[in-house]
Amino acid sequence: MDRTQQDALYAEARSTFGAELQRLARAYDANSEQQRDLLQEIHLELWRSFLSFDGRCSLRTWVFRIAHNVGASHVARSVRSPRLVDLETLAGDAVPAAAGAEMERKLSAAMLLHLVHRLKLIDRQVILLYLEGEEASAIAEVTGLSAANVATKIHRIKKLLKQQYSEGAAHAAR
Amino acid sequence: MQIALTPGALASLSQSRERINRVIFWAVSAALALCAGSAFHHVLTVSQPWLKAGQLLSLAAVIYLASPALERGAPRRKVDEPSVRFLIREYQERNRICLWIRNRLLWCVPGVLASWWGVLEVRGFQPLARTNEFFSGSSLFFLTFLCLAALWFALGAVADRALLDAEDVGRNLDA
Repeated sequence: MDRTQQDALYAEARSTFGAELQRLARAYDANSEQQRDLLQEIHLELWRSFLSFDGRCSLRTWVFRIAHNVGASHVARSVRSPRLVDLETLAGDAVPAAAGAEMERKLSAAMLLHLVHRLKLIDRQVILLYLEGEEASAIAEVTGLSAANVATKIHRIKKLLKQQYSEGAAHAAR
Repeated sequence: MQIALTPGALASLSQSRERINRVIFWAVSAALALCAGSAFHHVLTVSQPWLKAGQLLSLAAVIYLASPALERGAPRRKVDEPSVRFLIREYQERNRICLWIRNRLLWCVPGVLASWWGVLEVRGFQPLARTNEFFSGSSLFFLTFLCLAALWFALGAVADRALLDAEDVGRNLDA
């Protein structure tokens, strides 16, 4: 692939998936300065990777694979990363109370990010791809997990989110 | 958080990173060459045989440890792999590098021991010298061995942790 094709592919990826990449960077690091660095790193690796892109998978799969791998590498190399947990552990945790509609909306988004930041890397990737509207088969292609495994994790994620939000609403109602 | 990078800007960023890597490579090579040169100079100028042997062994250890790393350079990550395989590879690579460095720390021991013995002979076998000067007597050698031991255990712990992380990620494939 030559430089022109590489640049064209990158421009297409940036315009199509730019917002998703920003959300992904926020989900991999809670610090805004680090998020910016991570996002730049993702864009750089994405651009570099298009030299070897041969269409063996869809552009979407390629972009998400690169982005999630750079994000995971960022977390894995961080000396300050907290202890990460799996979905089952997160399901057992207490939920903070919500108060007022606007506060509840902000708290829900913040709560979701907080949950995501605590997750182990593979579970985090599955939940982020699920929240971006990806199907189980697409998530399996990006992560390398089996479709059955992804479906099991998505079922646990749905249960976790339902439990977290209904407990949060119950607190607000009191 | 807006980030607007054009392909041109990314190309410049990529080139700038490669320039920085080259500068670091040459700076490390120069520092190692200076250490090696200094050790070689001591080999030629020092008369005490154990000190001479210590410097020669240390020089050999530095060349043996540094040359594969300088030859190979930093490995290029395959970021387009499926995530599970990418993570397992990252953790296994971390485990491999930590164990590689840790196991080669032992190569530093003969040089330090020989130098220590040389210093003891020069001082007339007074291993428990009472001097407070940091760079005289056996205190420096005890400190060196303590640092080597601490590094040995730290690298081992990091390698073990990386292996556990790789196994943890690998369990997702078996599930």
